[in-house]
Amino acid sequence: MAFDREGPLSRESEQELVQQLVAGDEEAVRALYARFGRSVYTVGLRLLGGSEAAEELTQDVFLAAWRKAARFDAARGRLSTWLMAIAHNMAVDRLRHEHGVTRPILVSVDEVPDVVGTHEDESIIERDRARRAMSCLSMAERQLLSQAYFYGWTAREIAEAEGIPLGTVKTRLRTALIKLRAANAEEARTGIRIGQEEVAP
Amino acid sequence: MTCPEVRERLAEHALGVLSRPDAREVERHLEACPGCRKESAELLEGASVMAMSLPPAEVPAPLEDSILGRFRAQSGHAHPPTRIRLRVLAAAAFAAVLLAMSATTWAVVKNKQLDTLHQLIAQKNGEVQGLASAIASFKEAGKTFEADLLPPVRGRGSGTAAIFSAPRTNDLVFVDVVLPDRETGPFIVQVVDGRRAINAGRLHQTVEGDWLLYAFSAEDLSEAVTVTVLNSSTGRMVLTGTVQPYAA
Repeated sequence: MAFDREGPLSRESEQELVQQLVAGDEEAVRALYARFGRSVYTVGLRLLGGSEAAEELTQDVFLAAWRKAARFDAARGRLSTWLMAIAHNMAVDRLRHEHGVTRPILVSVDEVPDVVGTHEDESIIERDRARRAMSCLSMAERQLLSQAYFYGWTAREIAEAEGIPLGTVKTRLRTALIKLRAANAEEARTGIRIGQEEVAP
Repeated sequence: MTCPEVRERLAEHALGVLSRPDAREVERHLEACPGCRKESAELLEGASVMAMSLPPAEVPAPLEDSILGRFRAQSGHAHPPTRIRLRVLAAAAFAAVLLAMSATTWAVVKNKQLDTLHQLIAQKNGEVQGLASAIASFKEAGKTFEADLLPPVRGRGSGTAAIFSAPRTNDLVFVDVVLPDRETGPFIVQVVDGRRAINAGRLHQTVEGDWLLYAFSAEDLSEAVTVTVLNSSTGRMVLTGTVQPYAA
């Protein structure tokens, strides 16, 4: 089965793509890279701070995805979630290993986009949706998540820096993630609904 | 870890900032606990939205090739069965059969077992015919040529040359010759087309005593006219033959 390189994949298609990856099908690697290569590289660049490190990370992520593919279960989560978790974990591991800390070098909170808009390119539907979902968070929530996700601060470190109780930080992190996930899902539903209305006679 | 202990850590786990030992414990628990796993999946989805929302960076063009290269190397897969690969395989197999045929044949000739020689030639011809059919099935792959190499007047020795020429991949030259013992070389092989003489490489002597060349050439050999073996010390022609399309 050939996979389109753009547009959303159904969960069944995601599972099938990963099964082909398990089987060592090079086309599956190509399809996966076409969809997520840029996102993985971007995460690498933001966390590791250099194109060479980001390239190396991207290579490692796709090879890790192939090795771990048998463990992917579409019923448990989306392919993008799974792959981005691999990418982020590997980037953080690398930072810990190389620098002894989880502080990313480059990103600043200001870089987290808060301006949203529509884009006609099918291949970045998911990104636009994510950006719109991010805009549903308050500035404080975005900053909190960014401190952890992009700067690698632990809940304890955030609590100490902000002078708020550890339990409160953990609760806020959890709440913000749930809210972000819900906003993204809602964006996806809205997108589908709008699409259906558009094609309706 | 208990469920409440795990759930307290799930947000940090999703954001990748849990210590490694804690993360391992959480993951062990998640394997066995559908409830916590569900919540973890939701939080991970939220975290991935952050990654996906980043302004896209410009990806270096060769990155995909690097990934595919490492994938091929580590998966144990060679290249997928593309036409180019089939060409190379066909050429290599063709050369291997010629190698087997020539070496055995010449060894028998030396022993003067002529009856056996005829049987062997018949057998090897059959193998070559089979392979030629296989090559012919790659109709777009390229062309195969051969040349019977013979000495000039009063010279001794003989041999076979085969050329497999295909677009978009290196051409292959295979030469196997037997020369009198007094001929010590070194010998080089030249492929001559209408415009130039292309040096295909140097012959190496096998333990059986024949001389072999098996080389890839970056030059286009599809217009070859003759194949010549030269003594590179003296510049003297030792064997030569006219290139003809391979007769399957």
